[in-house]
Amino acid sequence: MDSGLRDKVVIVTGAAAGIGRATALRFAREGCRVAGFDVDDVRGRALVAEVVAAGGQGQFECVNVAEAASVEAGVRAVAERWGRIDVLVNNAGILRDAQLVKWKDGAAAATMSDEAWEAVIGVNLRGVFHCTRAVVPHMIRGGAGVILNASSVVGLYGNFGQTNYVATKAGVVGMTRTWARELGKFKIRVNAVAPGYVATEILKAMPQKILDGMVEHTPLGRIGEPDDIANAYAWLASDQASFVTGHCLSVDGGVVVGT
Amino acid sequence: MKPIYIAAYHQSVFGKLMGMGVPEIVANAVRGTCQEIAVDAAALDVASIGATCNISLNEQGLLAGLVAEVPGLGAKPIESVENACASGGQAVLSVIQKLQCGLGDTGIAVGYEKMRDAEGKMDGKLVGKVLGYFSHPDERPGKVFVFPHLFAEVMDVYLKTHGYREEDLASIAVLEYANAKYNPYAQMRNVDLTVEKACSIEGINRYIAEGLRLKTFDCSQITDGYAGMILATEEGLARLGVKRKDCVQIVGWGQATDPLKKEGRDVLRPKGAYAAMGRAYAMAGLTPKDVNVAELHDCFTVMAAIGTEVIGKAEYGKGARYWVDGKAAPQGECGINTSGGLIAKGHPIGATGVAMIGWCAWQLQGKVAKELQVKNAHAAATFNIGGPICASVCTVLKPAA
Repeated sequence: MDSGLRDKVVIVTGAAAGIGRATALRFAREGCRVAGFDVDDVRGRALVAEVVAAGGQGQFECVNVAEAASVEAGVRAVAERWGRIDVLVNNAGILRDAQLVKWKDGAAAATMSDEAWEAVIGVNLRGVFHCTRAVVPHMIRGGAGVILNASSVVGLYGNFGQTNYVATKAGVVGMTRTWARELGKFKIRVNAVAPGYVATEILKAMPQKILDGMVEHTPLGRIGEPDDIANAYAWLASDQASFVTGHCLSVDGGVVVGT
Repeated sequence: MKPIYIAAYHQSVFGKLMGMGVPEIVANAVRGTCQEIAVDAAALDVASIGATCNISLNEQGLLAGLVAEVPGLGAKPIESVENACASGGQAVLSVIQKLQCGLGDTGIAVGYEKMRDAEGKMDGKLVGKVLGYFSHPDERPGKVFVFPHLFAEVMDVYLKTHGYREEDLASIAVLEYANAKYNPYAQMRNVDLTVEKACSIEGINRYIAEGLRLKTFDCSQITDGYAGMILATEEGLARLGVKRKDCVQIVGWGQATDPLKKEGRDVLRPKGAYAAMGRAYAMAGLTPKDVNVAELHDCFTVMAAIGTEVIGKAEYGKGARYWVDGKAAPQGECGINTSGGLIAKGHPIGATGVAMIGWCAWQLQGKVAKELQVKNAHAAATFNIGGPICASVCTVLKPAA
């Protein structure tokens, strides 16, 4: 079945590695024109080479999604090159894990720092806001569009040591539902994906014992691959999902958090 | 002579191109390079393409015709070139010569090699056999893997003549593997290599030719990959809409070929290589001390040592010492093979010569990872060889003024 994605212009943020990279390559295989945004310009440019090799057309823009001006410049460059923007995947995300208050020997030994809070909010929440705000006018002018946001299983259930991250991932679900309401009349669909544990570089660096624990809590009995998430994005962006909006799709192998 | 600028460079991630066929590889190389500066292939006046095993492994000849298949390139001057592992460098020179002759103002040089099958596996025996075709027939008998064997002999002569240990050459591979970790285009990005491991005969590391000291970790890779480079005159840049300040200029180039037979030549002082490099420096009006970036043809570690001498960064016999002393490191006196070299970045034969120049251009433009970036990179030299130090292509590069 034709996905309807051929020649679509797709922006993927955080495209240099992990789920973002897999997503960019997935859309490239569909024949899309893929623009990758990332702060890592060396790996970002290498991604373009992979997009070309996968049959797509690629463009890389060195963009820090936490900065509105950087996002505006990147979006402008894509629109100038290809004249339209059809899909935005707000994937860029960072972690700065710490307990809210770490209590030891009857006193607060450490707390989550302002820097850790601000950095994560900046990329994971404000970044989604910046990118969507910059892209939507192009989609309205084009008569349609798809916005896809990266939530997380922890955004739905919470997680130890991730106050900042969880706040952003829950916030993304709220923005998704709000924008689905605001933008539906422009034929812009807005959805989120909530990945479970996925084998990205961050996860691969974790001790085997922790990885085993993750598998144990996942009914499908494995860690997810970046392509599992990329496939969900591709489906949500495709014509097959043309009546889906305001939804947060869990792609997590059925993981049970907090047990 | 007209100044020649690198208007665009593009390469695949080196390693495996899986099921990609030759027409697709060639088309992707052209498409990808054009995309770097958002131009249509129709904007290119001339082209050259280099590869080596296209007939023996890919059953495909007349590669120029595949370049002409790309919309916009038909009915233009396009040629296929082959000078063994120097084919890529030769393709670049072929385009430069066309531009100098007035056949056009813009051109693309493409190099590729597809050495693995659709599953990414390699047939080592077959690859060894077909690479042997690039040696003199008199020098093949009795050698299982002809090229590693020939260079194992070169290595032995180098070690004995200059009094080095195997560990000294191993340190070249160690640095190159360490560099490749930060090059996202490199084939060997995840290997931790130490001198001890490179010198221990265990696992994949073994002697390649009986009685000689060349080991697996002294060797470059069997690699799929492609690279493309758009070259232009001043007029060509204007037509492409590329600003001169965004370009690197090829300020000097040289080519020379020695007799194919290794026997009877001084391989430690290859005449053709020195002649080609000398011409490139003379044309550039630069000397070795002006250069602080280089990419050398380290098909085997000994060639990185000899190459360091050819480009003039070390005196005769002091090339290996230059690496052992850390002078070739990204933060050393001259960052050599900061890409990881053929040993760790990979060696897609036809693409290699193009990729050496392309990587140096990135270095001069500050476009490589910070861990590999040479500080104040101001001029670069490349040294690409084919066969048993037979055909040599050398260039000198500078950021365009």
